[in-house]
Amino acid sequence: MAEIETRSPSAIQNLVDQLNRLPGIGPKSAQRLAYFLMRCPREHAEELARAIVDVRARVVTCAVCQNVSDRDPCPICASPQRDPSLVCVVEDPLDVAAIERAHVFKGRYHVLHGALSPLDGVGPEQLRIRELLARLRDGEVREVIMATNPTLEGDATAMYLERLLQPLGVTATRLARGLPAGADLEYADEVTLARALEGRRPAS
Amino acid sequence: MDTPRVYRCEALVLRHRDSGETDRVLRVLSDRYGMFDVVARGLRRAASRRAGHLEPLTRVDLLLAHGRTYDVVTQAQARAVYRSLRESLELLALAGQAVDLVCALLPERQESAGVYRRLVWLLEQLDAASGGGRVALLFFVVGVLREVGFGIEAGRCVRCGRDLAADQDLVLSAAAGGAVCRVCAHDAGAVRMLDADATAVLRAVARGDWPAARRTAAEADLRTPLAAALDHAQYHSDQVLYARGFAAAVERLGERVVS
Ligand SMILES: [Zn+2]
Ligand SMILES: [Zn+2]
Repeated sequence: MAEIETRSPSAIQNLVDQLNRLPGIGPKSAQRLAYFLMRCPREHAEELARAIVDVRARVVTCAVCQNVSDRDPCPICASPQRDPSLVCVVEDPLDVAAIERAHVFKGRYHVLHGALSPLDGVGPEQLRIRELLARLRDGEVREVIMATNPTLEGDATAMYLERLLQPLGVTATRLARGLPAGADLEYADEVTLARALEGRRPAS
Repeated sequence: MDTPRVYRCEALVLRHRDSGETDRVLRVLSDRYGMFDVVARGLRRAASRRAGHLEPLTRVDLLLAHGRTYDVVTQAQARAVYRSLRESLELLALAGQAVDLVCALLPERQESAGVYRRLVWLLEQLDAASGGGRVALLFFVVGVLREVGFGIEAGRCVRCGRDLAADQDLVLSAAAGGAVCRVCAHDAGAVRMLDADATAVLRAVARGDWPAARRTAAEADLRTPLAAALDHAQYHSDQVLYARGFAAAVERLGERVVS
């Protein structure tokens, strides 16, 4: 396998280094992408460069839900069709996109931009928690749905928020947790099984 | 002879971070091979059958295959998931500080069976949720420090060597490496002063006497000795223990709910 040696022109090396900073892109993928960009039609490469500049110039944070958008407020917060009394709290903008794809949720969102981490020391001041509390102040929101990931960090975040919300008289709920579609009971871990049992419902 | 392609070990999952589209890199502390990173492929997919076995703070039997950058998890079966611990913010905050300490103090791939046993012990103590989480963490921290050569001296002044009377309240200096006498305390820089109850606990903990530590802890406020032990760890590992920040936030939450 041919590797780029120290003889790579520095412009390529620079691109490789920049690509290598992206999440999920290792040194080898970065090399492959850099060489692809060098060989592809010049317009394609320029479009990509422009798109990157544009996204930073045009994308804003919605002051209501903290999601990234090209408008403030974002289309979801601005829509009269969405129920403002229901707020679904997620870790990342990608989680909003995932829930929207299911077309079942009619409320609004709140994006925390991360999760608390007891192990790495990510604290509440590093997330958009203050903004969430500010939204709850006028009494319009009746229910906050915790849709954080079912990980140690996501669960810690949900527990923390539940404690914060308790004195505010807002109902806090969590997504049901249990067996994912397509899973096999035999391979389920103890925590997943226990939660699936806790979340059981009458068979209909 | 080549090393075998796969090997087994028992480990505690300490941390995880996302990698690529669906993978996770896990930092594990194993019983036999010390602390190192492994990769678990496809772990972020909702239907991953291994995900629940490989969350942080899980004790797990692993089958690993040698890989180029990281060894790869090929099988994982949880032995203990510490469910009560997982469902309490306060206990998570304590466990988080223990994990952070281990990551700061241990070099990679160095056999650390003693630290492994201590961490299993701590997680079991916390999970039993019979109270006394903080004294268990203090016992763990001081024990691990001793194990890696940064023990806290509590019997003599670490500056002048004078014996400290058994009934004297301790003054601890992280930079000096333990307790200092009243005279040496004047120019020892930042110190933490323990009251009589906290002193009794710290002495028991420094001796490695768990029953005595547990008994004396019932009366004591352990925040100062715990802070002193963690200062000691930070000073000697030259690393910031960020998990202390999370623990502080949880503590503030407790005050807010009460008030
Ligand atoms: Zn919005
Ligand atoms: Zn002295």
